[in-house]
Amino acid sequence: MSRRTFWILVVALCLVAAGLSLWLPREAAARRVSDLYRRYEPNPHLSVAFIEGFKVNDTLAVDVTTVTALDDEGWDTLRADFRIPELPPLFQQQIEEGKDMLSLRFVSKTDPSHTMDSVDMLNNNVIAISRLKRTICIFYTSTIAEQQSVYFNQLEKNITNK
Amino acid sequence: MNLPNDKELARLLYAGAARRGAEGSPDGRLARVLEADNRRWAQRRAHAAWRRRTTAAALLLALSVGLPAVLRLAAPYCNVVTHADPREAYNAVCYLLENQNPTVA
Repeated sequence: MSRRTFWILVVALCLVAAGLSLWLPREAAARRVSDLYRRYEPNPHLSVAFIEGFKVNDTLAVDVTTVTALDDEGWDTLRADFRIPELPPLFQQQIEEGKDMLSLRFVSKTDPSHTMDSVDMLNNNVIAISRLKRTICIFYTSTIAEQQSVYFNQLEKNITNK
Repeated sequence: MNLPNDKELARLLYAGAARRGAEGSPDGRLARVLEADNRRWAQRRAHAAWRRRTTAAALLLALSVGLPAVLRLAAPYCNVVTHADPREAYNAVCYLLENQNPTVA
């Protein structure tokens, strides 16, 4: 093999390897996303993101799917799918004035649109809803400790902020 | 006075021996020995060059695989999969979780 052929082959191999090392992790990440991400990704009225290993605190990291409504139609879809109740006019007015109302609850792992599984707590994820930002976040928890960390971390912060 | 080095000396000896020597003569034997020696050296040089080339190629290959991977891992929000703005998505989770100031993933 001549020196020129050798180096042409090496450069070609390097280009292929670099391309693969850029493409493969992206492809792998796209395969790891949640079902919810896949479900809402094609909807043009919603913006969806999946975060792998979001740090809740120093010791805990959980996967999170976040869905943000881009318009009224998107928000209506989210409200219907996740059974987010209509607020009384007074609260609704406060949100329109720029005050947020965060809510946190448990939802079933198998179907996030359903309420929590009260028999088996491990069959639940934690969902957080912001009405002002029209965003929901689902925290994929696998243990009771993780659920408590996510749930009480938020409560603790809110109490501290007050 | 400049003395010839080993390689030059071998070449001179080989040239002289080939010029003068006949088969079976001491000069002829010397010529054959020197010729074999030269061949061996040429082979060694070729092997060394091949080793250098393959080492350089392996290094290049490792760099072309490792560098994009390292850059990707070092990039902020590398753990966010989204078609929108990853920073915005990350901040939204921070806001919802604890109203904290977002930090880069």
